[in-house]
Amino acid sequence: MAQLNIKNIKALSPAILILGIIYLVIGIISIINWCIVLANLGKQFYPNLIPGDLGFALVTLTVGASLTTSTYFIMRENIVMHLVSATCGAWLAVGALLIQIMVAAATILDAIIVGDSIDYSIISENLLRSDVIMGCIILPALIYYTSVLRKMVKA
Amino acid sequence: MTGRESIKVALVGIPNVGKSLIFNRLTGGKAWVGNWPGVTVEKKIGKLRINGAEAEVVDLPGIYSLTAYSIDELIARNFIIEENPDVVVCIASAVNLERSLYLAISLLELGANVVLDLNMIDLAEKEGYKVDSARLGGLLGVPVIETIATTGYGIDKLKNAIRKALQEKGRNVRIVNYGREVEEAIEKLEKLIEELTPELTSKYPARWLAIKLLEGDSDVLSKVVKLPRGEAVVSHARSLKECLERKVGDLESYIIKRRYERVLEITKAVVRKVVAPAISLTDAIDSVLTHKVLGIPFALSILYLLFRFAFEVSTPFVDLIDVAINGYLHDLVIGITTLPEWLTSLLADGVIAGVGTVLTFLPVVAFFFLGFAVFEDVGYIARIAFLVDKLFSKFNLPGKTIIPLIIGFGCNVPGVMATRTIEDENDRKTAALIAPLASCNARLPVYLVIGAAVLGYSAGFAVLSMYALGILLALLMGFAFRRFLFRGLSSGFVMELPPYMKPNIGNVAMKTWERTKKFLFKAGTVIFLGAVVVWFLSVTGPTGYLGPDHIEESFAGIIGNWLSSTILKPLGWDWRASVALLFGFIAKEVVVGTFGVLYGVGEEEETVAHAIAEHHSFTPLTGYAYMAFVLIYIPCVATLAAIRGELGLKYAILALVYEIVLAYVVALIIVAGGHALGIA
Repeated sequence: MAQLNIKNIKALSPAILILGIIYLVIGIISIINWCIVLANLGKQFYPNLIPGDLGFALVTLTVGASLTTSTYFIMRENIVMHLVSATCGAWLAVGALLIQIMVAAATILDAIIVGDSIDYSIISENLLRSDVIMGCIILPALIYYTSVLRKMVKA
Repeated sequence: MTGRESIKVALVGIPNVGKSLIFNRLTGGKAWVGNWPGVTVEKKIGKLRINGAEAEVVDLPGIYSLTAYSIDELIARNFIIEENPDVVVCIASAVNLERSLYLAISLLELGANVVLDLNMIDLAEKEGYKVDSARLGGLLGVPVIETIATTGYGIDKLKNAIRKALQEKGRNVRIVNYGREVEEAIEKLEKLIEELTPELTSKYPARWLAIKLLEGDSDVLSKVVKLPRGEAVVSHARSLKECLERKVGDLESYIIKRRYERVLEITKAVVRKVVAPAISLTDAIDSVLTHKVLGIPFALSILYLLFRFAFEVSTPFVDLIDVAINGYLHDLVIGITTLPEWLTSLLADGVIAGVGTVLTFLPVVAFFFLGFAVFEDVGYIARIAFLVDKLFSKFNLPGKTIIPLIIGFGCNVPGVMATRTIEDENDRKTAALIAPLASCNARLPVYLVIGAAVLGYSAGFAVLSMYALGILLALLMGFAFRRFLFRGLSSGFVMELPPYMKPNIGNVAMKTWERTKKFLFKAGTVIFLGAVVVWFLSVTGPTGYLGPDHIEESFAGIIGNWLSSTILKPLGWDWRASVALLFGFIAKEVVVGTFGVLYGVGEEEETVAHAIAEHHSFTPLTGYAYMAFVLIYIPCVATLAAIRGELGLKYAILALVYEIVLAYVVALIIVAGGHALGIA
């Protein structure tokens, strides 16, 4: 069983690396967008998908760093550290997803309270963001990695 | 059981041992929260039914020992001596038994009627340890009860043990053997104490007093020396100490070493390693979350998400209150035409606006405390403190100070309230006083407006520099406060990292409710009064009631004019800028709105910035100085109220005064320095 888990983890690790790199790229674009807003330099890159916000950039860069670092551990055959690094990064990514879903719900509720119309823009601005999309993609990996990690640290 | 009617049970334990959960389990979560007399250390009292009678359960501060080196330890020690609780429940961590046993032994030496609660046995088992609680009880001579506070396992047994312990008398205070020579000295001193200072032995065990005198405990020394024949006891203790130190070296260190040896001896006898996992889940997670490189971005990211949860998810509740109070209720009062104009204005713009200000803060505060309590219960907050502890210790501050500062970037009110998680009183006071220096969200519109009006392309950098300036000043002021104002006792930088645990819903709800309630009742009253005072100053003048459209002739306008022509003259700001600062006392975002009213352009940030630029109210240099002044000058009324609630009126006044002085000095340095460098 443990051998099978390790095999699966090794097979999944390139996907984790790719996700990590995507998160890093998103983080860098977010910083660029933030600088564009701050210095009033003109048009941002995909502002709805990647908001120019330093906090958003920090979260995505941290997730990216954690996921890519996990690949370093698997190269050194340190499966537990690979699992921990990838799981911590994935938890943060899913945390960002959950907060964004709550923010979207709060925005809809707020629109009802203040009497604004609820249109598609609320959904697109709040849910068609890279942290939401990437969070959904990483969710299955998080569930699997967490369950394997629990088994491995107990054993 | 003592002869008195009320039964007192004290809860004591090292930090992060699950004491609050045990307290809630014993008392059903109902607690009276206050402060210990003379200090701002939180005191929690609950009720527990024992043998048909009601017992008072007192939650003592989290401590590691009973020395006189920290205020928390002194509080716990004095409570046990002065109040003489019928039973002291010492909560020990089965995961970290050694550290808990040192405290248990200190309690036994003090003669306390101890029941040892061995908590977190599930986590110990997960980590591969088995504690023989029956043997532990035998070695210490006290009942030992195994509990799991998160699930409630063993709580009924603990209640039974407390019930039985009420029938017990004193415990064996000879729990540690300090070696032949020291024991002889203790015995001699014991006899002398009993003979010369009998008034002390009615309260304290003579053996404990003798040990403390030999250790050179300042608190005990001062108590003994005050007695008529106390000087003789102290001088004899000193000569015995000198004599012993020639043989064993520093006596205090020797006594501590012997206690630890006893602790290790007991631990070795009762703890058995069942399984040896390569790495525990807590250690595994900590290898990333407390990593020297990855740990900090993780901490900042998690705090950022907490920040979004508090400020963005709470928005509909804030708006709901705003619509109900500042909308419907305000319009309702305005609609009553039979009232005189001044009374309508007082009710609508003073009283209702004041209540609205208090209540609109409430959802943000509640959401913040909810998220914070979850992370606290999980065990993550201690990790954040651990990460920055090394850096902060250079400024004589504990790592936990980072939490109020980061939270303060959102709003200073929860920032100040977050200081209550800092155990040491001096550290907590310092953190609460420097927390308002973190640049909160409300200041951002002021920076953006002034920056856009006078700083052009440098605006972005200027805004960023405000955040950096806030943190730098907070660290420097923290250092200054610890160096000159709060030089007293400190808990030092010992930090316990609890194992990661699932948050307990009841505990999280309880903490959130207690903290939010405290904000509402303690801070709320001050915020309300502040709002009414500012209303009064803005609508009245020397000729009486003026209405809301004559600010320049109002008391606020007169004060603003006076300030700009006297104290603030070297800074080069006009009367409008001074009036805006006065209104910023309510909330910093009001500064922009006030500029809008004074220029007659409304509250839109862009139009306000345009008006400021058109009127040449600031040069780039004086504008930048104004931004720095707004960052520092005074905590808004809500923050001030929070400081008053946490530390008392004296410290709220101190925060007000030092921040005004600091803001003035910093702004003056910017203006004078700029002029010296030839900048306009």
